[in-house]
Amino acid sequence: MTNVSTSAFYQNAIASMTDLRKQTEKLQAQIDTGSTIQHSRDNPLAAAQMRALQAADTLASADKANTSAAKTQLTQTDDTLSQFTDILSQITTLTTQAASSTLSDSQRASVGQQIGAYYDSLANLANTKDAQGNPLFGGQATGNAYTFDPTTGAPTYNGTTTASTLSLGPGLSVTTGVTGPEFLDFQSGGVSKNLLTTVKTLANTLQNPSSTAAAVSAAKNALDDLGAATASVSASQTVVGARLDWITTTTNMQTQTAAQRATREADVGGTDLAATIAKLSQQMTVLQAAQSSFVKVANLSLFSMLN
Amino acid sequence: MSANMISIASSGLRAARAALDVTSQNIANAGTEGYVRRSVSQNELSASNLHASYGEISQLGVRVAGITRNVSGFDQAEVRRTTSDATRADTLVDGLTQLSDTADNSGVFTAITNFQSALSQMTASPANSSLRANVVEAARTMAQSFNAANNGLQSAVTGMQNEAAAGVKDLNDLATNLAQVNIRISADTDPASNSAGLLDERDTILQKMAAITHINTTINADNTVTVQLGTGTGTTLVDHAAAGSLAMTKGSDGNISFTLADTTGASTAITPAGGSLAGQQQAISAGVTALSGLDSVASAMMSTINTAQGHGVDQTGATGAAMFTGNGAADMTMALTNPNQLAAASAGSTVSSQNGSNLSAMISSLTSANVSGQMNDYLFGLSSAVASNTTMRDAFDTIATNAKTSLAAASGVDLDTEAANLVRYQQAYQASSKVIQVASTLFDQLLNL
Repeated sequence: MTNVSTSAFYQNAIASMTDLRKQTEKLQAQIDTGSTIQHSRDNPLAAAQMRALQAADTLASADKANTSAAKTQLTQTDDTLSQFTDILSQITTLTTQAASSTLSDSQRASVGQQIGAYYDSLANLANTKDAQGNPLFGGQATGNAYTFDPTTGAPTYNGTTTASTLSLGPGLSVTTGVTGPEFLDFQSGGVSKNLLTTVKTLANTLQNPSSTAAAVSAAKNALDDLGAATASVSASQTVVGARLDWITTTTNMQTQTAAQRATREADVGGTDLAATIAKLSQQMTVLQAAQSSFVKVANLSLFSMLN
Repeated sequence: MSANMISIASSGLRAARAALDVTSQNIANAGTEGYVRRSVSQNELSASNLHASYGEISQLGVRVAGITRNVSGFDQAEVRRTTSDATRADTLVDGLTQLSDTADNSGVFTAITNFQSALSQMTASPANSSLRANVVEAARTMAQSFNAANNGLQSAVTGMQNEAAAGVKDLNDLATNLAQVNIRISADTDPASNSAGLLDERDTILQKMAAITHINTTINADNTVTVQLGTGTGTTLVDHAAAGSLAMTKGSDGNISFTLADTTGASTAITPAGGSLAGQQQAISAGVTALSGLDSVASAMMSTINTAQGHGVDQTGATGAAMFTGNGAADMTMALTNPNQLAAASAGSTVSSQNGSNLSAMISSLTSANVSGQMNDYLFGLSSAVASNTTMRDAFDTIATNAKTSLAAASGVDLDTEAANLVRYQQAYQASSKVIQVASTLFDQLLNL
């Protein structure tokens, strides 16, 4: 029996047109938002994947910020270490002059004065602060990395034994600096020495030598120490350079992973615009046809034919 | 003979007029809910073999035997049964949708991720006060979104409880009305009276009851109806003039249950098998589970972070205080008032330490407890319940629509059919009038002989 009562005909027509309209609006919302998932319930599995991907995005932005912080820190370390080597080479040149017996005692004393001035620069550099105002070479300590004995100038290290390590993402991390002792302490002739102490002692000896011979020999001995110190600073600089390279690699990895995630997000929850627009216009054609056929059929009544 | 013709024709006129009346009534009620199309059933009146000599046929015309309600009890019962199923599924989907959307919109998942991200950023410089403040704010937002999610779910559950209470009240009112209708139906013994109207009323009430809960109906010999709730034989809600009443009880956890005081006054526990009450009962139970699920995610977050705090020291060198207080999502509160109270440094570290090893430990314990994964699973559970029930709802809807269509096809008013009937009965009326005219002409012919 296909004969439907009049009220059922209207109800069915309204129900099917409402349904078509809802589908049309859903497609329109998908185009509007660029996402096929308006609510989790539209596609629970895809929504769960999207949430995980978006969480990874948020956490990756923290990793990115950390990477950039580590880069700043290491670049500053690298620059400061370069200044150390520059000054060391100046001191080495001066010491080479002082080691020559052609210099007079007073000339040697003035060389000692210059070295003393360089010592002050080195001491200041050792207490360099980073962008956060914390000691660059103090590990995880606050305040100054070194304090100096006011009379002898002997340095005391106040920092921690290791520099802090920063996480750059799951399984990736980098040590964001070097501690003072890592490059200022060095071995020379089987003895552990400190660059600052060595330079200060040299400056003092050259300015107030017990004899000319003692001054010359002190300068000659210091040359070996300065060579070892320069090697130690250069070694640290190489380490820092390698870490900066590692950060570049990590940044590339982060960019690639982010791109992969974006592709995945588009696959899982993105709207395929071409397909959706085509579907929308199809849906609208159907809706229009349903509406106009409803109007035509509703006008078909035997009563309008009877006079 | 002509006197016979006139009386036959006048019976035809009466029958045609009755049919026209019924057609008019059908047209007038084409849009009336619950109206069942009527038709006139006619019987021939003849008296052959009665006090007549052989070969003589005594024809007496037509008689209106009664007004037929064109409805099948089976179709109606099917509509009631399928309506109960469809309403239950629809109410359940509505409730689950509310729960899923509330949990989604509360932003708990995003807040957890942002909190983790803030902790990660703080590792760059554990003593930095703005990074610390960022963590404190993210933690506060997270606690508040847990509160908001809990409140949203709670109010969804309360809303459903109120709807169920309103449904129970409606059902009891309908039961009382049905008992009244039963009285009028059993008192109505006159075949000429409008018994069809009373039966329409009875069936409409049953249809409304079926939307509220699954009912078993028995139509008695006198056309009254007995309604039972529950499975099997069930418990009697309405029997003739007596109506029982359903009561709803809210448990301490928020779940609802029903008891029916039947027509004899005895109380029986009822689990509705269909209708909005069943849907609400199931959705509320899902809501109660959702609330405790949210509590367990909140507790996992609180215990992980608080334990980690206790392992480290804050900027003053003191052992870290608990970051969160509360027992669940409802009362989760950010307890730290000062960013310096974040215990980023390992135990034994100095005041204002730059050490971040406890912070790293906190992040890794948060990762291994997988709180954000738990929340993701939780949201997935809620939304997939909606999705799977929606599929079922659509199936029930189709079945219910089919049952309604087949009932409407049999019992609804089709205006085209009625227009044709109008013309048909008008012609019958005109034809009978013509017979009277012919009889009159014949009689005049006799007189003029």
